[in-house]
Amino acid sequence: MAMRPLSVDARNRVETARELAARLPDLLVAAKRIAANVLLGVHGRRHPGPGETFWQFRPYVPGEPARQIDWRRSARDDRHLFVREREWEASQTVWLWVDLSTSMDFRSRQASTSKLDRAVVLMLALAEMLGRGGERVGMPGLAVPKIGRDAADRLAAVLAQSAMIGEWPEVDRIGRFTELVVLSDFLSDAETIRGRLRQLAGRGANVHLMQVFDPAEEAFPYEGRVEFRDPETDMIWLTERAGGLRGDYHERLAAHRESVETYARQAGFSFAVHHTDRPASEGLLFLQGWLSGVVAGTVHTGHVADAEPTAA
Amino acid sequence: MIGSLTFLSPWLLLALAALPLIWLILRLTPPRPRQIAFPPTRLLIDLEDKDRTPSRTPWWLTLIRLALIALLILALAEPVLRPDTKLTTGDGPLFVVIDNGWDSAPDFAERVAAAEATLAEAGRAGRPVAFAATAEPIAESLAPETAAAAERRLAAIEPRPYLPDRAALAERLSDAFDADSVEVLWIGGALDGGDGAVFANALNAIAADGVVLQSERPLAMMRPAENRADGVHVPIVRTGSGGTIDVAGFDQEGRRILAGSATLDADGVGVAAIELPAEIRNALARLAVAGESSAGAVQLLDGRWQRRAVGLVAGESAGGSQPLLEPLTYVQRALGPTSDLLTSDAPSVSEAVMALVERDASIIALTETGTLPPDTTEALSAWIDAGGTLLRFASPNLAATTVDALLPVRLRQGERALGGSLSWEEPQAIGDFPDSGPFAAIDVPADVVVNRQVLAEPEALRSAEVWAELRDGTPLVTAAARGSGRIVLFHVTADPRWSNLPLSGAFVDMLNAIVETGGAVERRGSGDAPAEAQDATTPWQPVEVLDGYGDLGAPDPDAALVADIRNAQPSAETPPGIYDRDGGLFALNAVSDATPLEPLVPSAIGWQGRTASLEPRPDTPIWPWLLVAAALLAALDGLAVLALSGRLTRRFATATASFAVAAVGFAALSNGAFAQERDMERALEATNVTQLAYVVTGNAAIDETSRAGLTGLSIYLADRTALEPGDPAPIDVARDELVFYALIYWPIDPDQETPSPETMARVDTFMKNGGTILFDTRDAGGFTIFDRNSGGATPEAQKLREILAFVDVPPLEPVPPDHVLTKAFYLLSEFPGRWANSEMWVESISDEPLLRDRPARGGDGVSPIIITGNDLAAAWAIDDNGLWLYPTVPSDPRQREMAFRSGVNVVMYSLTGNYKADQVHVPALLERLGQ
Repeated sequence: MAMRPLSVDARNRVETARELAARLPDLLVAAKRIAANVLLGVHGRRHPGPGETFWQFRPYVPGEPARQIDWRRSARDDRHLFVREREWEASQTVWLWVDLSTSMDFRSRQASTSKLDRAVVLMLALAEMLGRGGERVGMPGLAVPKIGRDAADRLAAVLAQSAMIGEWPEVDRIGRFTELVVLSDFLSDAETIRGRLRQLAGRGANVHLMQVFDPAEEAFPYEGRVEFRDPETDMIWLTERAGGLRGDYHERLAAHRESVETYARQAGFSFAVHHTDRPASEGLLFLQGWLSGVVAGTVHTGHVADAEPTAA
Repeated sequence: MIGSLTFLSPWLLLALAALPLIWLILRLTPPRPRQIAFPPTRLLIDLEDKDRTPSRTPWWLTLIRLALIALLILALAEPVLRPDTKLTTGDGPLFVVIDNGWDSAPDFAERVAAAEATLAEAGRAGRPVAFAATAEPIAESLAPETAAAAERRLAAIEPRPYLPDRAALAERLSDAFDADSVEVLWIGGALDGGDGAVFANALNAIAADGVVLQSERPLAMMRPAENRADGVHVPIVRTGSGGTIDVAGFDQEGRRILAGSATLDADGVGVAAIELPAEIRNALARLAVAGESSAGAVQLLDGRWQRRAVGLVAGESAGGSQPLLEPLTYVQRALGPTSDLLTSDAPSVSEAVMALVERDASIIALTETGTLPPDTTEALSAWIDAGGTLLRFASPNLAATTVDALLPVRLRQGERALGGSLSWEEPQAIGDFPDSGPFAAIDVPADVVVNRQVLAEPEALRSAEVWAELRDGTPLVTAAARGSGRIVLFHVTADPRWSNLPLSGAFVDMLNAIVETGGAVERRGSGDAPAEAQDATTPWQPVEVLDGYGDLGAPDPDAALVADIRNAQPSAETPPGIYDRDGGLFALNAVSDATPLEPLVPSAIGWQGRTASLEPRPDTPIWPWLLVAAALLAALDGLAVLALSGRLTRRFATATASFAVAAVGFAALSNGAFAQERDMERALEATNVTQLAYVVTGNAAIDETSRAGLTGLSIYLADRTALEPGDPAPIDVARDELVFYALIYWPIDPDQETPSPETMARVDTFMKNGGTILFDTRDAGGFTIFDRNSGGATPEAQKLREILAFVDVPPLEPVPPDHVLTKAFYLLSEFPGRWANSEMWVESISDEPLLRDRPARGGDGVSPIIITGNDLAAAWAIDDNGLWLYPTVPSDPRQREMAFRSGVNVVMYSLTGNYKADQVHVPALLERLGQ
């Protein structure tokens, strides 16, 4: 949102971050609980190399260190010595990013949690899961990728300490073949998003975009005389009959999402929508699926909220 | 009938001028929209709104709010709907006729006002008006004149002390008016008077249109009172339904010396029976219905009415051992029901006679005596001269005396025996009661025979009257006037020895006739002589006459003299009042036993016009409805705002509406049930635990102080004594049952509305049944209970007097040092509260045993009333934290302790009565037991 006044945005984001820091311990606990139910399998490289899992025995080649010889296997054969090889298990680098802009700090009555909390929970759960899986987890520009089971705690500490976290990650350190997971509402201008995605595509990273959305944002259940305020810019839109805008809003929202999705597809990124009235584990499963290579492409999770007006 | 709209606070309507300003403000201030932080607001920007965003309030919302404010202003101005008082509708000649007998006196002002209003209306319309008053003595012109002239004549009309002579006016009507030519307004009196039908027909004949205006006020009237042995019986008649009515009696000086009340039956007839000693009865000069100002509600009393005291003296008696053989038994039985009988215990006849003269006996019956001592004879003669009537009976003693100053005739010596063994004369029956005597009205009994009699000297009979004689012409009863009084002699004994006359009914009539015609003894000597003794040609002269309102006043200077007052009817010539003839007074009353008192019923007398009520119908307040409308509009406005901001959904609206309906229904239904439940709860609570109670005055500060004070005292009692009272009970004396409480604390609030007599009757019953009420004037002793006439009483003390005006308050005294109250729990010498300078007053404990039967002393020796001015509750009052609410004056911790001790003593006294007084005897009793 390039056109918003900085001061307002800055103020709002500091506020959001401060409040988030206070909630982080709870969110961390929730994230660990969710992650405990989802196991990320260590992904082998189908090559012998350093690792823990047995891969194959091969004949000893003179010149190799003698301690590599598997004596037990060799004892059963009277001609050759064998060497035990293990499968090469390399840890991947996974970058995680969550949009902490003020617009994420929104919760309607239909949802039990705000978009921000849900996004943070998803990110921390993912970090926990990846950390236990032995992957290198980091946040672009904030935390370097490291292996360790304390990934979630590390990222939570980073989140708590960083007052200002940008809406969009710094892409400089993101290398080829790394994974990048971005959790955001993608409500910025479509062209802005397109530029960012294009930039990311140039880095050669494998990018997964998850749009975290509130059901009210989807359904627009408002009626009557309502003054809508953009929390980032304090921009105000007054309408006499909010209900009459519903159709137009749905069209615009669909168009916006369509364009973001199109850009993602063009860049080869995966795109999914997660609604805050759905369980967090559902989003986590999708993310895990992406990272395991099971699911690809764009997926909507959660239901598309009906357009029936309900008491907000 | 369309009424007129009036505002009680019209200046508030000025606020309506501010409406345009409010309209402007409302118009420019749109309803506040809902504000929603909505992240995708960006997507909404530039969306085409279906209708253009208004920057102003919708016009209909403004209208609702303006109407709401206007309604509030109008409601605050308190509009009331006054019903139309216009009675006449036509434009032709108007005939206003007003009844101005005494039956119209109580609300005569209203009648005149109604007539004035109609006349003023006619004056504005320029209608010719004929005017007549039915009870006016002079036949005035019935010719139509201007309304102003009629108004002047109306101004001179006063209610007359007699019933109108409508028949006389009816005769003149047909000559004065053509048939069906005038519109008639008849402001009718309350009573028919017997000529209502005639008058109604005459009015019907001349009236093109007519309305009779009648008062709905019940009219109370008094028939002549009867003076009976058991008291004064005052018959009361009231038009309309039953109820009770108060009667008051006044003496010659106008002092109120008697009060009673009559319970009327459904027809409005009742009798007030008032017990009264004869001496006070004789002082009565006037009886009146309380609160009824008309001549018909007043009965004037004269000498005829006074109840005579008859003294009985027998020379020789059976000594009381054989009462039926007492010589005067038959006289006693005959006169007992109608007269007051006086007897004397004096041993000798002369002393007895003197005693009776002293006691104002107006008739003395004397028997079994012959010649009396000279001084007694002299005294009796003087008494007779002053108006006394000496009634003597023959006896053997009398037969021995021939000449006696105290005999009407000279007697022959000895008695005459008839029908005896040595006589050939038959026993004689009574021959005749001569017309000149008082017995003329009595039927001659056929069965009375006289066996023995004393005989008068024939020549002596010329100077005496013979009131009764036997068949052979010998006198049986003779009488002679002496001075203002007279002497009557029965020539037989007062017992059946000589004749069976005392056994007959005629004897009772004869004695009563003597008593009734007997005059009162006039001590000043001028004398109220018996009428028979006077020259019948002297006319009666009015001394004081009643006006229509029942007030006595001087008669007109040219008042007519009346020849025959006894047969006179109240009229213009003979107005009711006191008439005098040579010192003899006669009271002519507006209502006699024969006066017809039927109410005037237009439908019953053939009235063909309309009927209307004199009472202005009450104003109908409109402002409550305006307030209701404003509340509805406010609710509508709220709904509209909700609808505008989109928060109104159908479910919400339905829920709101059903809740409102349910709330209204609940409030309407549950009122009665709540009250009953509250009574039950109160009774249960009061019977489960002893409670101190206080009277709710309606002043929140005083009530709260009472509650806090009694709470403090209850805690103190629980701490120090065996009594653990419950929470103090607030009491509405008018409604709540008092019987559960032993002690009721009643703080006096000068602004309090004085309880109704019915309420105070409940309080009186409570006190007589053993309850104690502690009145606290809270004015630091500014009151003085005996000082009734001093103007220095505080408002609280005056209010206390007002409250106690309807209560039988026993004599009071400041708590004496030996009163139980000073020893009931603590030993106290004074009873301070917040103040310390007021005495505490209790029922006087006199040692006089005869005074034990005081009215309010129904309890076990507990004073039913305790009065203090020390503001006890304020001294006891504690807040929820146990801190004192009020400082004592002077600020002395000891005084507060004493205040609590006073409270403990009062409570203990009211609960245990004189138990502590008996306790002082315990050492003596124990000592006696030990022996």
